[in-house]
Amino acid sequence: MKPVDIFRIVLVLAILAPLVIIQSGPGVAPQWMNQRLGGIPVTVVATTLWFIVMMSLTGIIARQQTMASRKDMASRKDAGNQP
Amino acid sequence: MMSASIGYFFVTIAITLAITFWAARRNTGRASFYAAEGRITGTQNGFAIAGDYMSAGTILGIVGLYTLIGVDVSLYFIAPLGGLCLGLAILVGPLRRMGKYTLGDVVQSRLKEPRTRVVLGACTITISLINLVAQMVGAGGLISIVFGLEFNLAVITVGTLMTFYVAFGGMLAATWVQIIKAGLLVGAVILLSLLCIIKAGGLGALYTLAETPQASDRSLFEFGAINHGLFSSISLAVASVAGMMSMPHLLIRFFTVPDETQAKRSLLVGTLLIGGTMGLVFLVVSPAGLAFVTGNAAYQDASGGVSGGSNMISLHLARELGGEFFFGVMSAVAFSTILAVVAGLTVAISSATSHDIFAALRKGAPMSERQEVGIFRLAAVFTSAAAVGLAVVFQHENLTFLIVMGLNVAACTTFPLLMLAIYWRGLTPAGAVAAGVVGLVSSVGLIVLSPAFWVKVLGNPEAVFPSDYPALVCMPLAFAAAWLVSRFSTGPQEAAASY
Repeated sequence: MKPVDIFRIVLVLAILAPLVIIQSGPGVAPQWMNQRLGGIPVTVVATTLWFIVMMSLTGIIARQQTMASRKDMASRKDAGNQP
Repeated sequence: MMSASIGYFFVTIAITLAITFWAARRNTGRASFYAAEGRITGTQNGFAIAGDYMSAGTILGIVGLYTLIGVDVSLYFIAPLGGLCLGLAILVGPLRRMGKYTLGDVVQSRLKEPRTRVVLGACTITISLINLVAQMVGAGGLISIVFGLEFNLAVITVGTLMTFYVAFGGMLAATWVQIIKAGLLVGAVILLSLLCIIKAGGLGALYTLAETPQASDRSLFEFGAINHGLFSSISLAVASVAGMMSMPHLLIRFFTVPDETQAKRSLLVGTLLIGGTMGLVFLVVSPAGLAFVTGNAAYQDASGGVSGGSNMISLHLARELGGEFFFGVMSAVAFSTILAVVAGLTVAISSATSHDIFAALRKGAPMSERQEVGIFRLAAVFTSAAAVGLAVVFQHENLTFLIVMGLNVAACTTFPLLMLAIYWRGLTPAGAVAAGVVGLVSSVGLIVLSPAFWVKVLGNPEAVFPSDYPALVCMPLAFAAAWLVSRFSTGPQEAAASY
């Protein structure tokens, strides 16, 4: 496992950790989360942001992975062409 | 109403059976039945993965659960998304390179030892069977309500259909049924969300309407209603992330695409579809259920609860917003969802039985391709029979509990086994067997001793284990068992780091 993979694991867990903690019981989440923003509860806005962050992270990792796979395939091809 | 629903029901069956006959004519052998000969493209497989994840339990169950625990339901789908994200980063590439048809192939390619295959096969069967029972219980309830069939007759119907799909169509049929269902489901959720926003007059207005019918003193839009405590919350998150990364019926889908790049693309497409759909379910459909169905006298039974139970809220919502036509369409989509997911799970169980367990137990006498396909088909028949029987026994069980139980067992068994086989060069065959056995026995054992089973099912006054989610205890136990046994045993310890 490369250091970048360990960083990704830590990053995903760090994103999830606050959500896990504030859902563990009533009153754990800060008071300002019980307000509304344009009629929409702040908890819903916050959850949607969590969601968008997780999806964006998946997109970034997928892009990096696809580029790495292509690079890997190209280098294997090059190695195969060498005398 | 009933005639329209029954019409859509038969159209769904006709389409899925047509796909099965088409697939049966194309299936030529083992590679077709197990992995659709690797001919599925990344995008198609992404739809199939999304379809596998978005089961009836997930979509219908989440909307129902929202009416009980409100925004806390977000952990049930954001944590699995984290699992898919990490799966993309660290699991899919090595898995596609090392495996061919089943997860047993992955461990076998590293450890060259048949008994590790048997253990992984047993874990795959246990996890998939738990999930299958959950889906069948959901299916029975849904069909009996929508179409007026008896519960037992409903599960027998689903069991018979899934036997046909898998025994004749194999992975190719299961995949195409899943792709079509995923497309229908995504379309139906988008349409339902639009209708919800139009009816309410905007998203802010929808949340104002959703606040009105709640009788409890706590708002469902505040965090903490679920009140699990810190241990159970962390354990649930661990089970959701690690379990999602290692669910066998999802992972074997990566063997249906031609290469690693397509496998990664398929997980990206799947994650985007799951994220978009579940996002709409959370943001729009669930609060709309509170606004237009909960508390609406037209959808209440004699006891004052939602008619047919909370799992029916999405279908009631479809009727409220789109009339009988849309209700029929949503019912057909829900039914195709069930058929597709049970077919995928049956493929996972049948392939683990024939390719991992039977093949490994016949030492020195390798099976012919024809024999292996025969056992695959036979396993599909037995799996259907077992699932029908267990669904009848567990028909009153909580669906969410059953699904989370499957995630817990996966987090404690297939997750440590795959991670260690891929990334730890010190793993020996005995260590892998120890990890699998300790993970399986401890997770199933603690689930039996948990409040959800020991108290609610067996009727004991107090639970022996205080949480419904044992992953935080059992997963480290499985890793520790692998490390300890590997230290004192010998075996192939080469080259894990190269993956």
